Amino acid sequence: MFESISIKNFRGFGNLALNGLKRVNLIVGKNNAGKTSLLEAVASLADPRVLGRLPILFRATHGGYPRRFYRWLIRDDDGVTLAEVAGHGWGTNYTLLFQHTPNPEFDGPYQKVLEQNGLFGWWGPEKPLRSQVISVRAPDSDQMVKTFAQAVRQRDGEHQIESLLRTVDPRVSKARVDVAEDGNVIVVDLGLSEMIPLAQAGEGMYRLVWIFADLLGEHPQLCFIDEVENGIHHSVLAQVWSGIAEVAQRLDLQVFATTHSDECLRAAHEAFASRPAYDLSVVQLFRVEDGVQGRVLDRKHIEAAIAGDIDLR
Amino acid sequence: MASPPKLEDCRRVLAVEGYSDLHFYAEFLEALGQLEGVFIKQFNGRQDLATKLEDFLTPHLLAVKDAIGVVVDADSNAAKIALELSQLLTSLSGQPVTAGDWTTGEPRIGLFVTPDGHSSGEIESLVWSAWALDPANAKSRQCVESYIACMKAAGFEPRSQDKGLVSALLAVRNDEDPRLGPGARTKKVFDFSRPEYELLRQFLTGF
Repeated sequence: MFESISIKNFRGFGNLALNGLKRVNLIVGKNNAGKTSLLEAVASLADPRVLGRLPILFRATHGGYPRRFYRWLIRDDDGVTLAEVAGHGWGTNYTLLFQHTPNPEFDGPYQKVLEQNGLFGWWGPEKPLRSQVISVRAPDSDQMVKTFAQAVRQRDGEHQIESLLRTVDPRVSKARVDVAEDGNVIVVDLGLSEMIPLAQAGEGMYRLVWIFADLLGEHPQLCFIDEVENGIHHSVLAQVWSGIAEVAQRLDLQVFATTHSDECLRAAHEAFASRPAYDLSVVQLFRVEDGVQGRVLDRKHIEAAIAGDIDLR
Repeated sequence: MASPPKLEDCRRVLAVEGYSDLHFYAEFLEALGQLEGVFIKQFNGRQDLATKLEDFLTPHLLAVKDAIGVVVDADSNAAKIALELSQLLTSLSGQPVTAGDWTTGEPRIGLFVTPDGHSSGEIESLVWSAWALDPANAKSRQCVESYIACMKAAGFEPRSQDKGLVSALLAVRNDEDPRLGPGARTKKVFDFSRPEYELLRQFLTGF
């Protein structure tokens, strides 16, 4: 896991150091505080192959202006020519450097990973981490079935999905693809007289099957979820977080998620507080004067904030 | 009824322990003509206060406010809580914070330990002494003290003597909620011009 991340002059960040990261890291902050930028920084650091599609990786509305996007990847400040994202995890150090001009000094120690739209990027060590971006939108039925099928095709995949679902709803005994005349659907056995379509098993369950199937199919080391609460009713947030906590532990996966929602933060705390290990941190970002600052809050601070009705967002 | 102020709309912030304190200090500040533009943040109680302050006093809050004051009860040891919180506030703000005073930097940071900066006790200790020493309250004072003494004799001792006295008084004067803050706010039971309030008055006037 990434235990620490530091960012210098990347997008809105001047100098940010985040230590004490956990298996699941929930990023909070007001609009324009840099939540999505932090996801972009960590995702690029983990796997620089995403750099080519970084403008649309988390920003569906960015559209077709990649030149502008890359132009602003290095912080716009007098004298700033170099952006750096660094992290320590998985027993090694990761470094990602950006400049608007070629720099032969970096060509030796690092791999050149970007030369596009007037921006150059270098990265090390040698092997990227497997990472996965989870869409905030639940997919349509066809996409859901395809992803589910890919997951259960894995060795022990079916058992994994079912046992994960049982951790959030003990009634689940089976999840299958049902071949019907009007199309394939996923059905779940909740102990009723027949298996019911997943869509009728509740919004939380639907979202969890999507998340579990996506992760089991890809087996990433890192997972990114922007605006994790999006489209989820607050009453099922704790259930969703219980599922995320369980799958992260089983797959030895590190999660970076963002949220705008205080309810989502409280639900995450509730889910992790009921587990044997509290593997959650809250990464708080705030814009101060011209730059973004941040800090990592541990369980003690998260609990105190909730007890004291302190808004961490 | 006016809606409560929002944190982002106020340039000055007063942090207090709990719900009752929020109402009490709102009333006190209003009596001083100082309430306008102040957001009072209460932390649902004293437990983990230092951690709550670490959470609340973010770099962003410290950058955008003019003044941030903290008022806490001494409880059993005024010197200990004053030292602990002055060190914490110094560390968070980067300014030398001394109990009973305000810093001169940006934002101004103030810390006051009730009842008077050095005695043990709580805000109710100050309020009770101010109310009980007022000659106008001599007769009802006897009634309240007799009641508490009688309960003690019956085996029911209040956890805090001064809280018990104030609550016993307010049980009659504000029977809907006998806590200090709501009593002060809704029924105007207390006279904040009494000399016993001078140190607190000085502190909050410097806000």
